[in-house]
Amino acid sequence: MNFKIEEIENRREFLKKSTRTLALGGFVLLGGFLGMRRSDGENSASSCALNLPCRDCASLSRCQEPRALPSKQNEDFAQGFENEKR
Amino acid sequence: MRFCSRSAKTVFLLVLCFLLFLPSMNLSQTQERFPKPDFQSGYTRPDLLTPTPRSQLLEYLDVLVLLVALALATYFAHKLRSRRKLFVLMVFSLIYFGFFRKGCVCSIGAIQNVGYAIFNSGYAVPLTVIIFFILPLVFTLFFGRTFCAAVCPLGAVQDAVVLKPTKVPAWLAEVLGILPYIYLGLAVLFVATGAGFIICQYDPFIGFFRFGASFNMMIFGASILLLGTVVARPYCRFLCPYGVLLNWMSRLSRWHVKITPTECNKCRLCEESCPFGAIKTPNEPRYQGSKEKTVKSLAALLVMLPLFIGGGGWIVSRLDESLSRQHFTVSLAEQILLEERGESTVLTEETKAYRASGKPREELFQEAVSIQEKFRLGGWFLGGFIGLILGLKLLNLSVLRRQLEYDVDTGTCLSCGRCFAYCPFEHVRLGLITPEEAAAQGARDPEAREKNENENV
Ligand code: SF4
Repeated sequence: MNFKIEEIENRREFLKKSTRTLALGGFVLLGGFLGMRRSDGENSASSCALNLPCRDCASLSRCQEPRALPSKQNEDFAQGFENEKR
Repeated sequence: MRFCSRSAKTVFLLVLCFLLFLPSMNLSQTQERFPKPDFQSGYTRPDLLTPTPRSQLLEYLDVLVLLVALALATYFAHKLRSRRKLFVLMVFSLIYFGFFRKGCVCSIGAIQNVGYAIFNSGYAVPLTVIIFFILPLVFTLFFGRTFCAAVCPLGAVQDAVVLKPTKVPAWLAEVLGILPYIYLGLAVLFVATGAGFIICQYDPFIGFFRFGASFNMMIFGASILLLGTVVARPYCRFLCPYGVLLNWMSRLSRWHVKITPTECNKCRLCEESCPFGAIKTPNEPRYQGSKEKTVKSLAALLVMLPLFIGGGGWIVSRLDESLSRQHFTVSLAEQILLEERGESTVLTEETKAYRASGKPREELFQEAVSIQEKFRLGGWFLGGFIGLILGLKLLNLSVLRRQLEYDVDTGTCLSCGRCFAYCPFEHVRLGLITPEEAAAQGARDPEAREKNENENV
């Protein structure tokens, strides 16, 4: 009986370990995939069809879209503000 | 009683820290770059509620603070087993990630950025957002939900108001436990279709962190906090979409906090100590006899699982019209149609602006139809996901697992450390009592003694 319980426990541990490794691999892949996206995410004029605030976009500093201008100015402003505080 | 005095201390500490940090918060208030324009039409521009962007360097500082806070929370929960230290760290996180950083960037909201990036190849997620999304999940995968215990500002603000927690009946907790899955599914559907970031839009506490939100959101936040005085962390347990992912990761965790540092003698002292109902009690020997029944109900549920998935998908895909109305383009197209048919006599600011732009109406309607189609397709996935979760929950309920001693439920336990102090073996670890005295705790409880004897037989 005890042997059976141990066997089940071992099987469960093995499954857990395998799924954990898979999940960890998944995170690495996801992080890599999204991280790579950063480098080629430069938007040329009028190419952006994103429906979200520009401040949440990693391409903001390089973006040529007119609608990104206020956020870029704000970012410059934030930078200046931090410097001023220092 | 114990919770009451602790919570009084909690509230006191929280108010104190809040007052201490109040002056510094002024410095980080939202900044208007220019004076507000004076519109002739009488339109007044609403106040800015989102904080100004931070410099890149300071965003990396946030990541560093997150990493250190996660490491400390794990150390306090696993190694020191100190509720007090976890509490102090929780107050710090509330002040830093909540009031100082105004709840942004947060791991919960990052679900949407990541989802949006997956469905929109043109969107680049900031590196800090990727890290805020992944890091707590990786920590949970190894150490359990220490992020919830002391790092998440949304959890912290609710934890601070837990005054007299009552036990939510198990059946109700199971039913309410489906809501976070629905919320997560809806959030992903909304970002996939470009309808918006609903997790941020309906974040109940962001208004407190930023000292400003719509009246409805303030009421929503206040109600959750009020409810939180008697139902511990209601948002975390019955709404938080990130909690779903943390729950899954925590079930796989390599190391997880335990109630007892050494052994369990089933003294039952910890039984009622968890305000989140995350303690598993040893189950009755009668379970041993019902194996055949279990196998039958398991088989029936397995057969029904595809039905749940298909049925769920069909039902939610029927809701495409009402769901897609949340998308700006669809609601604009509908409003224009109403105005054209004369069913709406008052012209809205949006339709006026749209007409002034000179964009052809056919283009707008085509766009609206394609968005609605996306919602229909997404509805199949969302409904299928909800059906799958329902089926799996039922399957999980029908499996009778043998539970030999009191232990935490690794999925729902938030690693808060409240239960540690209830265990006599924790007192032995701290050198407050001897092992013999701890063992006697179990022997003193007649029911525990009886259970022990049964177990030994
Ligand atoms: S550590 Fe886990 S089981 Fe213990 S009180 Fe906290 S949430 Fe409950």
